[in-house]
Amino acid sequence: MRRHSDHTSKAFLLAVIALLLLSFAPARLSRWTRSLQDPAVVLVAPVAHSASVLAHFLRPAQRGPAPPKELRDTLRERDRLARRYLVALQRIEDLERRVESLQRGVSVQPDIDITPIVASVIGSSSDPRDGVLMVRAGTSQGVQARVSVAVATGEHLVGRVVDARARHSYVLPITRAPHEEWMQGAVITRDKPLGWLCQIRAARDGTLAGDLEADAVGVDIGQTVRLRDPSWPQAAQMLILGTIERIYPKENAPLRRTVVVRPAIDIERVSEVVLRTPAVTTQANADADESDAQ
Amino acid sequence: MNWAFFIIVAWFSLGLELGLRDALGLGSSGIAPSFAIALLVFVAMHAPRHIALWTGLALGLALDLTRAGVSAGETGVSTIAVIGPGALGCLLAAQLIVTVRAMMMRRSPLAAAAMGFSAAAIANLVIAGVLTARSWYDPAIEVSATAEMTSRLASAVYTGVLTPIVVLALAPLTPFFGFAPGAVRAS
Repeated sequence: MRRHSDHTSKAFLLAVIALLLLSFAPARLSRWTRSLQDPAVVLVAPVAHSASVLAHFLRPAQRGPAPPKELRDTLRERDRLARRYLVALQRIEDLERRVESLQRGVSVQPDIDITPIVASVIGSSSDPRDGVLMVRAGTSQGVQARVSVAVATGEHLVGRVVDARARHSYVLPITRAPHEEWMQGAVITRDKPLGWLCQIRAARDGTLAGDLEADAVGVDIGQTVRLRDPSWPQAAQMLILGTIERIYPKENAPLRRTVVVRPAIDIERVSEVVLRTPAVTTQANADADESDAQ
Repeated sequence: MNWAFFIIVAWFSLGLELGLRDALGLGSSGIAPSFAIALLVFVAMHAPRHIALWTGLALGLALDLTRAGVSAGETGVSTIAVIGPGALGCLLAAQLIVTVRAMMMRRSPLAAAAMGFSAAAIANLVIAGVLTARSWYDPAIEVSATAEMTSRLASAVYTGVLTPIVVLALAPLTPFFGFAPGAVRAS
């Protein structure tokens, strides 16, 4: 009896020492522990997903009363067409630049087709401060970290895939991005279809806030802000970030203005996302899988 | 203790932890209650000392394994696995409950709330401490100690509110856990 108790105490002590070492081991030395996470998430996913479905039913992502289905479909179609128009305008600009590059003999990036992957939200990280969403689609479906982006209800940008595992991925909502992560948005006005640029970042209160271009005119509350950031994947360009909620002069530079952008939906409470993934990447993955199988 | 039954309840509570976090959370503040810590409070109030400590370690490890820490490294934003802080935090939380439980009325909702808050505060304090210490030498982790502590203490208060509800819900299941009679007094 006493021997059993000694063994238990020793095992307990060893476990505590191992956890202490792991707690303080730098990320590059403890990378192997990521492989332990996948089975844990797969095991918990059924309950988490059921709870998540219930939670989204009780507290939906849509702000305010949901419009009737016909109107909702029409609004989605409007958003889709508006984005296609803006992407086309941006493409004209890109093509003009490409022609210039080709004239100078510089190689250019080929066009990328987008593959939409529908994925349900399983839940979030066990630490509420992380703010990531766990979605049920992974590398086996072609999802790629830092390349795939998540959208919801048509054209609203939810965030970027920051980690892709075999069967699930982690999406970091734009409203929970680290403070040092800036995004470039474009405020779409009647006079400037490609929009006035603004540099915004997560304000950690569900909004995005930042500086508006100095010579911007005609910018007002309620106007749509879209992503126009070369550092983001092509699949995310011109997706809707939200609408302007407030505009006010900067404290230390009264001639500059700060805009506060609120997403049209509560993007941290979406029940389903569409992961926009470049088809080129998906094909490359399929090729890689085939060669692995051979 | 009946470990098989505990594992089923722990699996369920961890699922609720991940699935209901967004719905119960207060906006984007990162303040949300913990079902796993509420379960830990229930077990540690009834089980012998060594069982309570193992339970803390196991639940904390499960929390660590389902955590996806965000890191803004040189290669862009990604997730990192940090195994250990949650387990150590829950272990200390279990130890705290085992130490004070003799002075508490186990059936009182106020006692459950106080224990829930204390356990969550201790666990979060350890997690915040470890992450802050790591941020000094590990570039993958960046934390603001003040912001961490503020939201984590608020989460602890929220967990304190949730704990009596969880304890009340688990009370009819006490016989299935198979806690040894008189275990609390003996330890």
